[in-house]
Amino acid sequence: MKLIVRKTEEEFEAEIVEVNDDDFLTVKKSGQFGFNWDEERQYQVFKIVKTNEEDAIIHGLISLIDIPNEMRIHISLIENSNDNKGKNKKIDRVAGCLLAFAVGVAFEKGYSGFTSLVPKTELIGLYVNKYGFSQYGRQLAIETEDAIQLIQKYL
Amino acid sequence: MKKYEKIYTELRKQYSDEEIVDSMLIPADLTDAERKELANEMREIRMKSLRETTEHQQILSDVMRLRFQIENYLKKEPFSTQKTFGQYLKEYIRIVKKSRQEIAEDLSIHYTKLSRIINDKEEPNVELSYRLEKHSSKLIAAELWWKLIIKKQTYLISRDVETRKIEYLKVKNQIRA
Repeated sequence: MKLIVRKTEEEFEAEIVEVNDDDFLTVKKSGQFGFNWDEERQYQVFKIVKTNEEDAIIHGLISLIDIPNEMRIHISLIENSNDNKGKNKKIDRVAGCLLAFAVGVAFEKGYSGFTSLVPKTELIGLYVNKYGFSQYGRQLAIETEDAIQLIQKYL
Repeated sequence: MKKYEKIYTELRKQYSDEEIVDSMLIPADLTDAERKELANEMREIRMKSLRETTEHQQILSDVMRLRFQIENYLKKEPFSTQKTFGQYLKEYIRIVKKSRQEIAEDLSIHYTKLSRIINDKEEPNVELSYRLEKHSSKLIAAELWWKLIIKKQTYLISRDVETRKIEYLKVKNQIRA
């Protein structure tokens, strides 16, 4: 997957890997993340970093819950680092790649890409428009064709 | 104020809703009862979607699953004789529910050649990778098929003592190292 440096429009290869204990410490100390990621330790937490770089900067995080008896992946939390938030963000496509990764996990497990989330009500419409999720009351989900489009766009 | 509501209120001082959606997922603040209710709702939605999955959607999903299996194999695993181009092509044909004859026609390749590739008795070429990319509507890129060929070749070269010996004998004026 490719991330883009906004200033130079230069692309670079990124990868998403599972977070380890050291990473949780780094996340906490960096001051780059507003959510309490320690609370997500009960789920699977992944980071997005530049490929093949030692001690690579963490550009974003995602936590996933696997619900095998319903054949779905639920996204608990996503957050870009502070450097990658807002109109002055340094790197583009971080959250999109993290979302597409979650959907990829759902395909890999044979769940037809079925991925759900429960965002703040005020933001539901924006997640629908930007990422192609479907709305079911207060919840959002994506699967098969829409899930494929998200993956083709970001992965 | 609720946990995520508080975070959202703070973020809104600095970012627009679009910028927030572009960089994070802020979950809804839910009580235990609401969480349970939504989990039940989602279970119903999911069961309905499973019941209504069409054959075409199942094929698309299985092709995507195959794509990620290939990606993971290429990235994380050593070479395996069970995971060659031919083996994955065999699985692709099973997923798309076609006979070898039909796939041979779809890909404009002779049936015998296709069978030999599937059985790892003949090496595929890059042209077949392009054709498979097109056949899968780009769900599995030509690069992935090609990397399977490279992975096998790299493994074989690393262990080919005999050819090495023969080819070494044809070399003169080796540089000093």
